[in-house]
Amino acid sequence: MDYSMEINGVVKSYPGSSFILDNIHMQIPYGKIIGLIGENGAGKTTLIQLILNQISADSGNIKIFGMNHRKMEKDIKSKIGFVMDECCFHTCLSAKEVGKILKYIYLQWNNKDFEVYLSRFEIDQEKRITELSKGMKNKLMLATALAHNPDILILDEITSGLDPVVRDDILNILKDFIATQKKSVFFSTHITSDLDKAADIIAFIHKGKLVFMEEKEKIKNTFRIYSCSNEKTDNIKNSEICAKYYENGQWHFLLKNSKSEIIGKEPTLDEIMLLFIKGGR
Amino acid sequence: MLNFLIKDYLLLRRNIWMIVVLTLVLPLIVRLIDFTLPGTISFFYMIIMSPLLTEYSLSMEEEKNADALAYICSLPNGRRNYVYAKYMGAFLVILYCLLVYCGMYFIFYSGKSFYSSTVVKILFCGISLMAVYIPVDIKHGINGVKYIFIPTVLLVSSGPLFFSRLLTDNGWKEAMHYVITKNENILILIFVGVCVYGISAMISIRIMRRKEV
Repeated sequence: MDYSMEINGVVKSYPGSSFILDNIHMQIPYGKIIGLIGENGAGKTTLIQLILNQISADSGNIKIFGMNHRKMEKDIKSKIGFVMDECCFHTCLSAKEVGKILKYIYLQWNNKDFEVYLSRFEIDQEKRITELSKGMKNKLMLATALAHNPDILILDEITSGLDPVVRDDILNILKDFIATQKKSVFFSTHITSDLDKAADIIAFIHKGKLVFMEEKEKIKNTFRIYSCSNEKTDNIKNSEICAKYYENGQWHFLLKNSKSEIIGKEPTLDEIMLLFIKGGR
Repeated sequence: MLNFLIKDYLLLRRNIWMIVVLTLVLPLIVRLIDFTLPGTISFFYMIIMSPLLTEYSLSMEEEKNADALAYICSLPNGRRNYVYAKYMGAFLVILYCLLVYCGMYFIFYSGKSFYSSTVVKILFCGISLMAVYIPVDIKHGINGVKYIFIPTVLLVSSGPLFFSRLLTDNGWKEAMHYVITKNENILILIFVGVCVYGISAMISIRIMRRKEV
């Protein structure tokens, strides 16, 4: 299978901090939306910063379109559209001025497309960014990311802090984007309902480790949640337990590939995250 | 690089007129303080203050949104072009000062010989100041450059009389005369100035390449 991006054994730590992004292996196929979930401080933004070469990894390598992302930086970055978690444009600029700056950076920048996106998102081109709402700022960033016809979209918590209507709009845009072949979307979020709507593959990162990366439908078949009292835990095979925690007199287990007779329930992504965060092993 | 120059201009558009006017007005102020002072004193002020104020204002604007630098580093050739734009921007301001000085010279000092190795030396001072300032700005941001900005402004603000006294005091006059006559080869000074600027740019690119944003 062709991969738009390969992350091989990437490790990143910060001096004076106990956080470490530990040996991440990921392969992003073309034609898919990959949702990266994790709690706050899990390492989602750090991973995206490594992909975008904003920071350097301690070890490991990242290949994008089969090329080393540091050595072939210019060629690669011209094909990446990205959105950061906070509006990264100077607030004294207007949308039009942002377009003026970016059109000389990206060879494939299409100003007409940019204006079409601004019009679709109902962003006033002459308004200063400081006057735009959070949703509008996010949409502006998305417009700049899409206007140069990228092959990969990398989005860091683009739907965070937005109302459901705006979130839905953005997710639909991502689905339209992926409809063209040889495109990929890699977006991070901690809003799991967005992943339910849009993502094809879900990657869960927790405390700097990639816990799993599976197709969304397979996750439902792979995991089970089982809750029981202390006396009934003997039925559970240790090898099937991914996570567990004890609360209010009950044990809560997250089981993987359970072949035992235990009938657990199909977990939501929220429940999977919760179990790993509260009681991961 | 053009795009980053446009970005810098757009960030500074509210302040740039002040710098433009300051550059025009400085020679007049110097002339009002002391009619007898040489024109190169005002040129010295222009060359030191104008690029310094421009770059410092730019640093302050950039400081307002630290995420913008992260965004720039994610663009194709973003880091390198960001550095080039800083150097080109400072150079354009210095060039503007030189043009203003040429204009002012012909208005106020047309009776005297324009050719002066002092002009080249002053240009060299301005270039050298920027060659030190910009790498510090890239490495440490506004917190670092304030240690260059504040002392420079204080020193320069001591007034043109301070410098004229330096020049007229016998001990200093001999030392300055020695410096001026020792290095009469303008071309060497220009070459050294270009090298200093170029080396500074290379250092800045290296710093920027390794900077984690």
